[in-house]
Amino acid sequence: MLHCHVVRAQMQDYFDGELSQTEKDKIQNHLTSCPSCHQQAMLLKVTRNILKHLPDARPSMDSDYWERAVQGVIARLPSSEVPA
Amino acid sequence: MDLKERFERLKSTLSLELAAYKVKGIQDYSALETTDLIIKTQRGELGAFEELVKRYEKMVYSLAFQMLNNHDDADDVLQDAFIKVYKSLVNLKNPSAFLTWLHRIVVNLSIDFARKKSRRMELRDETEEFEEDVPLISLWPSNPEAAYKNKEMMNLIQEAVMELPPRQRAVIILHEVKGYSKKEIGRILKCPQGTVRSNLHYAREKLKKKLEKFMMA
Repeated sequence: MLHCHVVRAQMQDYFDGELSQTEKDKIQNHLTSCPSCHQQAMLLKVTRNILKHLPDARPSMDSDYWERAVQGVIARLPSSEVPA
Repeated sequence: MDLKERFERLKSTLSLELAAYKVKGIQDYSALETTDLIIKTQRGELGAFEELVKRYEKMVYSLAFQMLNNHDDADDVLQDAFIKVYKSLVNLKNPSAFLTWLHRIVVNLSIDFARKKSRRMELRDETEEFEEDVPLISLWPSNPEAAYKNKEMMNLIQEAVMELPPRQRAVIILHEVKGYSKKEIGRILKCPQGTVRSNLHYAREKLKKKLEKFMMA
C-alpha cells in the first residue's frame, strides 16, 4: 500500500498519463481506499476540466479592428528599414 | 498579311504581355504558404509581411489576452510582437519553426507586461488541512443551481489563473487551455521539459487549492 504523500506527489503524472501501468494500478488501488487522496484526485480532475473548458475570454473584435491592427504594425515599421 | 493586319497582331501580343506583366506585379500573398511569406519578408517584401500579420494577428491577440486579461495590453503585445518579428525574422534560419518562435515572442512580451504592471497578487499561504469530503459538482449540470455554481467555479479558476506568476500562467494557458504538449512548451519557452512540468504542477496545485477553499466555504 502506497503512502498518501507518495500518491499526492504522483497524482499529476497519473492524470497526465505519465506513469507505468503498475504505478497506475497502485495509485488506483490507493484512491479507492483513501477518501482524502480520492478527494484531492477529484479536485485536481475538476480543476483540469474547468481549465479545458474555460470560455474564450477574448472580446470579439470587428473586422475593422484587425485591419487597423495590421495598418498600425505597418505604420510603426521604420520606413527605410528592410529586415536586416 | 498586310501591314494593318500585322500591326493589329503585334498590338494584341503586346497587350497580352502587358496584362501578364501586371498580374505578375500584383502579388497575391494570401495564396502563399507561411514559409514562402517568411522568405519573401526576409527579402524585404512588405506585402508578404503584411499577409503574415493578417494570418497570425488573431492567434497573437488571443494568447496575449489570455495571458493579460486586458484589451489594451493585448493590443500593445500584438503590435510589439509583430514589430519584433519584422526586425528579427532575418535571424530565423528555419522557417518551419516560425510558429514556435512567434509563440515565444508573444509569451515573453506578455510576461514582461505582466511583471511591469505588477498585476500579480501574492498568493496566500494555504496550509490548512481538510478532513471532510467535499461535494463535487458535475461540469455539465442539469439544474440552474448547479449551473450557477459551475459558472462561479469557472470565474474563480479564471481569476486564479491571472494571479499565477507569469511563467506559471504561460505554462498553464499553453498546456491546459491551448493544448500544447510539455515538449512543445519547452521549445516555446526555451526551457527544459522538467521545468515546464514543475511549473505546471505548481500552477495546478495552486488552482486546486483555490477550488478546494471555494467548495469548503
